[in-house]
Amino acid sequence: MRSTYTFDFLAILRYWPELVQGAWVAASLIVLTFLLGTILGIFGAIGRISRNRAVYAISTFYVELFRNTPLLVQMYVAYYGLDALSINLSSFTAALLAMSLNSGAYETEIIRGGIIAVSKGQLEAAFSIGMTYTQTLRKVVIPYALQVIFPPLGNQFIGIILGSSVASVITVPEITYVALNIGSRSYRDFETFLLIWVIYLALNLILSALFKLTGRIAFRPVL
Amino acid sequence: MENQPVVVQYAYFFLRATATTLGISALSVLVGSIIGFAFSLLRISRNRACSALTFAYAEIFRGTPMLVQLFLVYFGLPIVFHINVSAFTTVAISMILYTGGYMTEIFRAAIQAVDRGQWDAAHSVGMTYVQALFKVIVPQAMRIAVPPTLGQFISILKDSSLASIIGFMELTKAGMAVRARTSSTLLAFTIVTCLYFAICYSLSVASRRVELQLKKA
Repeated sequence: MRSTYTFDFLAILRYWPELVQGAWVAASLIVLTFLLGTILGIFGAIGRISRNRAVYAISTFYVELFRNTPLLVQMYVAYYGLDALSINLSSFTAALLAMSLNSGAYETEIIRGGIIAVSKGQLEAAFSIGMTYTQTLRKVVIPYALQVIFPPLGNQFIGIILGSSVASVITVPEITYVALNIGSRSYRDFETFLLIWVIYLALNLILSALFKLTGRIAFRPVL
Repeated sequence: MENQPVVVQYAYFFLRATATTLGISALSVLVGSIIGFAFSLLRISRNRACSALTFAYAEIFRGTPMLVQLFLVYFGLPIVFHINVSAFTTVAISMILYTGGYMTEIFRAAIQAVDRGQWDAAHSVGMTYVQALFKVIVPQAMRIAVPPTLGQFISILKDSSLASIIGFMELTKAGMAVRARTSSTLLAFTIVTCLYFAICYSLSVASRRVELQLKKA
């Protein structure tokens, strides 16, 4: 059987302003998610290493709940579930809420890993050469913890990019949603998806190379 | 039947959907592991072309959203190849290819995590490359690969929820169907969330235990 399909990429090129618009929405969603997720992650990590039982239990429950359920279900709950409780969020806000909470759970574990990687011995060494608490924090704990969390945090950022496509399901006009839209109007679904497939891939390859380079420059082996 | 609470009325429906979610995820990891294992051997081989191609495969499938891959198969098979397939086939193909990319990297990392001295030892007793690989390196790599493979199973179990978007009746789709039929949105979502959580959480606890035992051994 011979395939009779002729590819027509030119047919979708005239929709480029919509693609740019979609990319802009996706970028805002991704960057905001990363910022909010990092803030949640810092609080979550503090909670996860806290000796206060209640604080520890709440943060652990948060992390386990969001890491052990699908992002899609979390988005449905944020959009349709809250709507059933008469909390009406826009699709963008609902997606941002679900994605931030989801990312925050993963970032909690990343940041917690960074904090506990700083060994007691390093703290004692810093104090024994006469550093104050603030100096130790600024010159020993934070630089070392940052070095540990930088690579997984970069992976998490790429994870957010991949996850942002799920927001299309609750009608957030990001790039996957735009692609579905263009596809159904131009009858060129396959070409449209090939195009955004390449866009996602290029973006992720470039970013992961950039993160590796930044990591190598910013964190020359300290120890 | 009509007067019974939603939980009872749809219990069987939810159980079947849960079984489907578990089944499609297990299938993906099983077939994905076969692809991943074969590709990881090509990936570490000295043949440049084989190594580059398998590297590209892993990067492409790990570097793009599964949802986009799903749509590519969904639109691509009927339009370009003139094959009309069921939702199950579409989902199975894209989930297997996606998991295969991750499994390639898991096996590659596991093989390279085996101490280099093991290769030297195998060669020094007169083993060929193939003998050393399959009799010495791979058995050890398999043990190292167990925890990340379990992690991949948990991950694909959650990602399988995306199959609902093209109409495949798994757990998430079942929740949406019950929500539409009964208009008890919160109850439907609670049931779905609890089922996913129960499965994924117990798997992650099991995975942590296996990891500890492997460390001890």
